[in-house]
Formats: sequence, C-alpha cells, structure tokens
Amino acid sequence: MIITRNKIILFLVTVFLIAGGGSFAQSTANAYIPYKYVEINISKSFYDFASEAIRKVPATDIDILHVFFPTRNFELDLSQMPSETHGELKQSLWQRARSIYIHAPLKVKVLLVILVYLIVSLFVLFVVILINRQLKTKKRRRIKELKQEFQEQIADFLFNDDVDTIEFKGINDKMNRQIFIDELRFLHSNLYGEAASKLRDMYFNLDLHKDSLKKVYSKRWYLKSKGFKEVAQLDVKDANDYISRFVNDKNPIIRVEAQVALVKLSDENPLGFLDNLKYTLSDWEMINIYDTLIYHQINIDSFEPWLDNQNHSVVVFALRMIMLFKHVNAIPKVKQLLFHEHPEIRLAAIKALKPMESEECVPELLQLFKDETYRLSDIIRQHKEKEKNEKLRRKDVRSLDDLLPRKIRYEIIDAMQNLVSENELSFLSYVAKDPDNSFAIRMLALKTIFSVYPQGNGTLNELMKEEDATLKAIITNVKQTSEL
Amino acid sequence: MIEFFRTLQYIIENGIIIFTIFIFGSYVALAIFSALSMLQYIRKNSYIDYKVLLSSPLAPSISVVAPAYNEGKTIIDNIRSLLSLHYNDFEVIIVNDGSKDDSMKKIIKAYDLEPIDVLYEQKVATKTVKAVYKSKNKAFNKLVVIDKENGGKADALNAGVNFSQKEYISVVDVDSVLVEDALLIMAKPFLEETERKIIASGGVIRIANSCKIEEGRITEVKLPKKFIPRVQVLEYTRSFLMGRMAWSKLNGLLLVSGAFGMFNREIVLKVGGYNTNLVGEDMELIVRMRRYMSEQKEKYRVIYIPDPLCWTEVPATLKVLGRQRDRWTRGNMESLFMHFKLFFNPKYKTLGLLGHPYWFFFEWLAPIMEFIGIIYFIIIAVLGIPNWPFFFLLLSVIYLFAVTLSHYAILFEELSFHRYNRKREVIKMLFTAMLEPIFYHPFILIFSIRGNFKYFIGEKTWGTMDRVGFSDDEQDDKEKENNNPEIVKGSSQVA
Repeated sequence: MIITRNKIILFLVTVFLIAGGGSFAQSTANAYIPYKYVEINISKSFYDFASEAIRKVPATDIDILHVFFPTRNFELDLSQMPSETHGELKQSLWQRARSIYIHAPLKVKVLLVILVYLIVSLFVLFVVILINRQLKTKKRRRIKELKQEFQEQIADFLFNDDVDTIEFKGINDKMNRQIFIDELRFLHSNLYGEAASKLRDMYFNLDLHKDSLKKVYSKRWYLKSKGFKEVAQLDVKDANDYISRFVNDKNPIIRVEAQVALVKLSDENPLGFLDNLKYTLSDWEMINIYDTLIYHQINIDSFEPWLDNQNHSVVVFALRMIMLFKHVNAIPKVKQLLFHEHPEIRLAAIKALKPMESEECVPELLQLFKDETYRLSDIIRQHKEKEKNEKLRRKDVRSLDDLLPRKIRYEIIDAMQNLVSENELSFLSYVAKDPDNSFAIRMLALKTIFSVYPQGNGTLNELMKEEDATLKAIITNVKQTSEL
Repeated sequence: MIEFFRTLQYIIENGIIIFTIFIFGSYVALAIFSALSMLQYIRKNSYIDYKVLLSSPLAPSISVVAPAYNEGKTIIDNIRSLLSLHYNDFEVIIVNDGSKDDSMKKIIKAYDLEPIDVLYEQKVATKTVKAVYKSKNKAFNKLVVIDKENGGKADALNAGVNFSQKEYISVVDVDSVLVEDALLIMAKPFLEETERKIIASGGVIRIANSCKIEEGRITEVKLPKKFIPRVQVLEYTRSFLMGRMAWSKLNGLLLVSGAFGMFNREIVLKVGGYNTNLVGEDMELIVRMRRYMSEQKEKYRVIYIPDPLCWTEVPATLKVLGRQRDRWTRGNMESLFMHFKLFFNPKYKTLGLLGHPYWFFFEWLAPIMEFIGIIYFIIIAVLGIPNWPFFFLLLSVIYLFAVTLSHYAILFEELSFHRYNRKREVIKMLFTAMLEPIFYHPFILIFSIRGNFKYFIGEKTWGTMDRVGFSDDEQDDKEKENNNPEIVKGSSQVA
C-alpha cells in the first residue's frame, strides 16, 4: 500500500472521531457502571460519579445544573458511599490510603502509581547525583595526582642513568595502569629516538602491552579501537593479522583505527589493506592514514598500484597521495584517469596534476573541459525539460547534479594557471566571455589570461570591447589587483 | 443537551490528558535515545586526536561568519577570540551590519585594517556592501571585515556567505565564546560520512553568565548567580543534551542554533541563503535545506555535536527573556507554517513524518494546549465544580515529572561533560529545578502565547511571509532573483 499524506491525515481524523465517539460512549456508560471503574475527570468531585453509579442514575435524567453545578449531595457525602468505604475511614492512615487506592477509579490508580514512582526516582536521582559528584571529584583528584606521579617517575626513568633501580609504584590496579599507558602514549608521541625507544622498552617490561592486547581482543568496539590505537602507537606487532580483519568492519570507528594501526605496524606494504577494501574510504580515514605516513615517515614508493582499484575511494586516495607527495612518475597514469567515468576520480586527477606543473597535460585538460561542458549542457537540458521552462539559464539548475561538472571545469582552469601559453588564450577568452559560466571561473580565466605575458594584456584589451558589463568589471579588477 | 456538554467536557479533559501523556512520553523516549547516542558519542570521541586535522592539507576549508551590530564594547576581544581558533585553512569574516556605534573605527584601529579592491559575486541579494577590509598586519591575515548597510542578521550572514569561497561556513554570534578546538570538532563529522551528505551541524550552546571570560576565552566556568540565567542552564541542558542529541540520531533535527553552527556552503547557496524577512532565519534555513535535499532525492543528514563548544550570555531579566522567547515562538511558527507541506508527508521521510509534526504538536501547540487547559480550569473553578483531590493529584504528578526530567538532565550533564565543578553548584541546580515550574515556567508560557498572538495579528509579518512563500512559483521567483547576481566591489573610497 502506498502511504500518502492524505491517507495519513484521513487516518488521524478517523482516530480523532473514534476518540470523540469513545468519549461520548464512555461518558454515557459512566452513569451505569460500578464506581471503581468510573471515568474520573478534573471537573467532577471525586465521589460524585461514585454516588451516581451507586444510585444508577441515568445521565439523561440529570439536569444540566447537576452536571455543572453539583448540589450538596454530590459532594463528599459519606452516607452515599458504599458501606465498606465508610467503615475503612475509621481505620489507620495506611489502611485508609490502601482502601482509597483499592477503590479508586483506574485513572486515579495509575496516577497514584506514577506519583509514587516519581517521588522515589526524584529521591534516588538526588542521591545518585550527589554521590556521583563526590566520587567523580575524588576520582579526578586521584587521576591528577597519579598523572603527576607517573610523569615524575617516567621522567626519572628517562633521565636517570640508573635505569634498573627505578620501580614504578601504583600501577597494580587496572585504572592506574590505564592512566600510566595514556601518559606513556602521550610522552611517546612527543619524543623521538632513544628516549622514545626507552619508553617503548619500559612499556614491554612492565607488561603493559598485555593490557593493550587485551583491549585489542575485547568484544567491545570502543575498547577494541582504543587497543588498536595503543598497539599502533607503541609498536606492538603481535596482533597484526588479527587487526587486518577489521579494516572491513562495519563499524567505521574500528575500521579507521585498524587501518591506521596497519599502516604503522606493517613492515611490508603498509597500504596493502587498500587492495581489498570493501567500504568507501572516508575523508577522515584518508586524513588519518596520510597523517600516519607523514608522522612516522613511512615511505611509499608508488601509489600507482591503487589507481586501478575497483573501489573509487581508494583511487581518489591514491591520487591525493600522488598530489601531496608529488609523485611525478605517476603523471602518465593520472592523465588516463582524467577520463575516468567517476567524476570524483576525474576531479582528484586534475588536482593531482596541478602541483606537477606538467605542460604535456594541457591537451588532455582542454579535452576534459570540453567533455565536462557537454555533460553540464546535458544536465541543463534535462533540467529544462523537467522544469518545462526553456528560458532557464545554466545558473538556474536547482539540483545538485551540476556541482561536480562545474567544480571540475574550475579545477581544470586552476590547474592550467601556470601551464598556459598564448596558444590557449582563445580558449580562455571563450570561457571568460560565456555569461552562463560562473563568476568564479570567468574571473580565474581572465586572471590566467593576464598571466600570459605580454600577449595576455592584449587579449584582455580585446575582451574589454565586449558589451558584457560583468566581463568589463572583472577585467578592470584583474588588472588593478595584479598591478598591485 | 446534557450529553452534548458531557461529551464536550470529556473531549477537552481527556484530550488534554492524552496530549500530556504523548508529550511526556516523547520526553522520556527522547531522553532514552539521547542517553544512548551520548554514550556512543563519548566513547567514540574519548581517544580521538583532533590534531590530525589541524595540520592536514586534506582538511576542508572553513569561513567563520560573524555578523556584528553595535558590538563596539566587546568586538575587539571577540575577534581576537575567533582568530585564535585552532584550525589551519580558515578565515574569519566579520560583517559589520551598519552599526551605529564606533565598532568599525575600533576594528580598523585595533587590527590595522585597510580597504581592499575585491570583486566577488553576490549570489544572494543583500544590502549594499560599502567596503571590504583586510589587515596590513600579516598576523591577522585570516581576518576579513565586510562593512555594509544595515539589513538585519540574516542579511549580514548572506553578505558573509557571498564573500566566502571556502567549503564550509561556520556561523557564529560575534558575542559568543568558542572553545579553541570548536572548528576541529565541528568539522570532523562532515569528513566521516560517506553515504550521506552532511548539510549542517550544530553544537551545544552553554551559558556564559557569571563565567570568567578573559580576552575572549572562558577561563572559569561558574553557574549563573541570578535565578533567570540559572534556570536557563537547566532549560538548555534539557533541550541540547536530551532533545537535540536524540533528534540528531533520528535525523530529524530542525534547528541549528544561530549562535554556532556549520553549513555546507554549496547547499546554502542552492537554497538561496538566509531568508531576510523572518525573525527565525536560523531554523527556517535548516528546514529549507532539508526540504531541498529531500526533494532532490539526495541522502543527507543534519548532525549535532554535544561537546560544549560555544558559550553565550543569555537574558538575565524577564523583559529581555520575554523578547527572546516571543521571537523564538514566531520563528518556529514561521518555519512550521511556511513549510507546512512537510506535515505528515511521507515523501519527506523522517522530516515529514516525525520532525515537522513533533515541532508542530509539541513545540508550537504545547503551550497553546497548556494555556487552554489553564483557562478551562479557571472556568470550572469559577463555576465551583473542580474535583480538587483529582486536580491536586494531577498537578503533583505533572510537577514531579517536570522536576524529575530536569534532574535527569543534570545527571546527563554530570555523567558527560561535567562542567560545573563545585558541589554547591550542583545542589543549587537541583533546587532550581524544583522552583522552575512554579516561578519560571508560567512566564515562558505567557511569552509563548504573546508570540503566537503577535504572529497572528502581526500584519507586517504576514505580508512579508506572503511575499516569500514557498509555493513552487514563488520559490522560483525568489531563486531567479537570487540567481541574478550583482557584483560586489570593495571600494577603496570608503575608508
């Protein structure tokens, strides 16, 4: 069944009507049913309905004044109450309360239960918050003291020649060991060379790596991830095979930590896990992997093997690495990817070529610009058909489809900035003149024209003759700001 | 006749009770959801090293846009605070929205600014930009100041959006204080998602009244001394930690606070930027962006970060509080009615089936129902027919529920971010929660009703809304207007 908005509203109206009808039926029935099941509301005295029920007065017989202005006999009139209630009033408070509860209408019963629950939970919350505060303050103070203590001990260990005599106190308990590991990790990440390896030795000597491995093998995702981080930081290679199973875990947090750990711990082919990556590599994962490569000075000879990967995010990652590490040898392969079917890969390929400043790429970039222009035109044509509006301009595209082709076109001009010669001036003029092109790309094209010395200035002067006011304003600005 | 009155009586009374049960039920459900997502968030981010973003060339670029109007007293410190944020590729765009005080003079002097020749596209129409300034001092090269004619906050934000060339826009109230890592923490979720586009993210707003602020930084967190701001600490804790966290998980978040949020710039531009004719431009933008993404059949999310990243001063007097709440109510109503097409519309999924109806019933309708309930009770009290035992029973339950909910919120805060360190502060909060329903909530109800009243009688507001309505034709007209860009030139003549 297709759920439409009208059906939902119809359903709600029906529910409302049924509820209304139900209320009507209930209100009529109230007059006849035993008092403990009687509906109770805020506008009638607690015992009024009970009285009605006992006397079984039909609702239709009650004068309107009896409904809205109850007479004395509707108030708490004990003679109207059932005999057992009457008797119980003389009993103890507890028995009386119990009796009221037992004989109360359902709604009152529910409210009484909720009331008791709320009173108890309020009290419990009050106590829990205060106790938690007490414990937390104590724990914080203890952690602070321990941290300071451990820092001093580790500093002693690092800078005292009499290494063997140092005994680390207070790392017998689980929490303390974790604080110790955290301190050690922090220091290790800020130290190099001998000091760092000394810390690592200590980590093993104190069997702290066993704690980290326990976390690695834990079933809880957050402990596992933390374990991955610790073994990666302190170079524990015992669990590499196990960790490699998690590069395709469905939990992205475990995934990224596993990937980073493998990059750090693998002696051969640190990026080998990319070969069989099933999930899309997120930007966050790419940033972390790149950071690990840089921070630990891990050298990757070539990223080309991943340019053929089936996972498009892996290709994008490889292209980004080629860009950042300026792998000039990869240019021929990257050039091929300019025409890849996936737009993200095309975009990454252009960006990868930019820092290479390779003039041999210009023909391909020009061709790609043409291709992207066709793609963009196609999107606009579809958009016009969909909107049934022939007058729509290219800039009026409402969907997100046009963003990537536009971005790619912009990046092409950006990549060509330092590569163009007078041969490309007519192409750039064409880009700058087209009023349907974005302001940004026109400006970039004109800046690029101006950078071709001295012919560029002549081209700009020619373009100044056009009637397009925007074009003229940009040219004037380009000349002014460039002169500055 | 009698039956008619009895039925009416039952419908009103039972209707209000059923409504209350639903509201309370939703609060409990949201609290449970929030607790689960909070736990996951804290575990997930407990060992994250945000520094990898700080130095990475792969990190996205961000423009921090801060509109300023007559902020002369604090603007210098505020800008310094924004400039000292920890992030690599970012700029701070201060938009002076035609301030009448000496803000501009002060900024020019303090940051050694000069007007620059700059040409950029005005993708969203705004009031005239008089000049764009940058600093001669390289230490402040991340600072851009746009001086424009007064056009309101939304207009100023649009001017910032127009100037920005970065991937993301972070909108900040210039008088808010951000923690140094705010941009790093806020940017991370945008990078993690692969299946869906993150279009916006919002952060928790914490209350800075009575806190010690030095050079635009919070140096000591203190619970507000005055009752009104202190109650708002509870309100914000309930709303942010227990409400929005859950809505983020359900992908039904309709509001990113104007005090601090981050947006995908391309999507903001696609929907035409902020609507300058509304009082609740922040909520409306999110609703419009969400609606746009749904209509384009794009997978998207609006996310929420529970870390206390942004601190701001809240109203300390009833008068100012009243103005704020009245504005909020009208802002909510504008967004809800302007986008009424979403209401129970399965085409918009969570947004249509959950987010919009929830806001409609429980944010907009709840105070109205409460008000009707009070009026109804006054009538029956005057008529002399209230069932006092039942009334007191019901009142006790409602009061205790409200207090318990606040205490849960305090527990949330205690177990998560634990920002108030003194024991007496916690005790004060617990007691404030007990006083809130009696001494604070009635005013909030009055302000909300006043907002409703103003919205419905405010001819000007209705007129403006008609003009920027969201029927397809009107939307197209608006887009055409926005897609007809003017060029903005920072003139060196205006110094």
